[in-house]
Amino acid sequence: MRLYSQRFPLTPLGFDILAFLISLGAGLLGSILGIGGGIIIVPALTLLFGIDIRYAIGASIVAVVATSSGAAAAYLRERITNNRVAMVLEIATTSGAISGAFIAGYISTRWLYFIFGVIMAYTSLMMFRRRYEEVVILPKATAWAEYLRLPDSYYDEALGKEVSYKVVNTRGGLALMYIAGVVSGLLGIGSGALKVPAMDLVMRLPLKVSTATSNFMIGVTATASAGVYFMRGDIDPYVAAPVATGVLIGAILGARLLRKIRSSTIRAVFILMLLVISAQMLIKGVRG
Amino acid sequence: MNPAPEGSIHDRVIRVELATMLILRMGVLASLLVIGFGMLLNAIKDPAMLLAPGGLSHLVAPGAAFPHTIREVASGAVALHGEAVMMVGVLLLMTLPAIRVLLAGVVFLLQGDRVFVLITLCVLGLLACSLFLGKIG
Repeated sequence: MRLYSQRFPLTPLGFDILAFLISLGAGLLGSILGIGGGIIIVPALTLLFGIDIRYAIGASIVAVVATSSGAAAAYLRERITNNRVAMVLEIATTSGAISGAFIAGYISTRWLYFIFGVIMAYTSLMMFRRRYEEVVILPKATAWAEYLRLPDSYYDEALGKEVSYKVVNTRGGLALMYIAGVVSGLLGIGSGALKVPAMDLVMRLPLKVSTATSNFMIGVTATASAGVYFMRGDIDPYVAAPVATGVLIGAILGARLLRKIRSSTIRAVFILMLLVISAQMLIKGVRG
Repeated sequence: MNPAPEGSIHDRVIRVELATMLILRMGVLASLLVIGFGMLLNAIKDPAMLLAPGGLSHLVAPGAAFPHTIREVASGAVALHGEAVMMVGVLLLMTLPAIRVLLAGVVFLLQGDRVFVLITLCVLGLLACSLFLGKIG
């Protein structure tokens, strides 16, 4: 479905400005929520401008890398990102993504869109039930988390205090990350949207740590695929350039903003975003 | 890494962490500037093109021609072709997460944390493997 066909509707300058502004918003939102912003970039490029899906996906992979990198320095300085958690979970996500790519030919994606549309909706409900929580600190970390020394602390500017947190259910988190990887390998979307709830709801990391750590992870995974897309010729500089610059600046601003806003606000925006993704997936499942 | 004559492991870890932040910040700035410079080169070369309706019509169909091998990008960038310079900026951006993983690995190494050095190597191996397989989300 395209609003325009055959001829590109805008002048190059007009496209650059519009794509830059949309990407700025995607980078801002993506860096705060720990997602790649593909849910904004891909529909915007294909539906609004009629850009071929291959270039749109190529640009959205670049956008994920840009979101991750633009926010990285700030999150590291504030020690919000938990590098240890990111590394441990990255093993599960990457192996999941590889398995997903392997089974991609044998599975009907239509049903997967349907199933994960429902899972996303359920996840948003679970997060909604915690809507009044700011940061909940558990009394004790579990053995695995303790062995891997995952518990850490960060300074929460919105609360004005150092928050030191525990980590539980590492194995549950690993299993969910594997599934998140399989989904992203199969469907190409929604990996950040599954990673954040896995860390927040299952491993009980503070929400800001979950989004910043997911931000790190999605960048690492996307870099590997970005190389493939580049060699395949899916990354067009005329699309990637305004998207990358917009997302980078948006992510730099977003990382500054994350420090100041309360976790409950981030949670509310995250829930909305989950509902949007869930709807996108369900629509794809119904349409086939 | 050359071990500092004085300074504990903790100091060295802090130094690597500061270096990571600096490299990321500089990398982001550099890729912004390079991509911007590429866009500027295009604009200077053909200013009328900027306001030509349908100037980007090739984007609505697959099969457009633009540099997509390292060699094409390099030779185009040396010749100051706008689109190749933009790609240099995009490629520069794409290296940053990999650098971040490597430097996180260096921190684990300095801390003598064998388990995490192994985990980091596993991650790098899996990424190389997925790059080789050519398909990942």
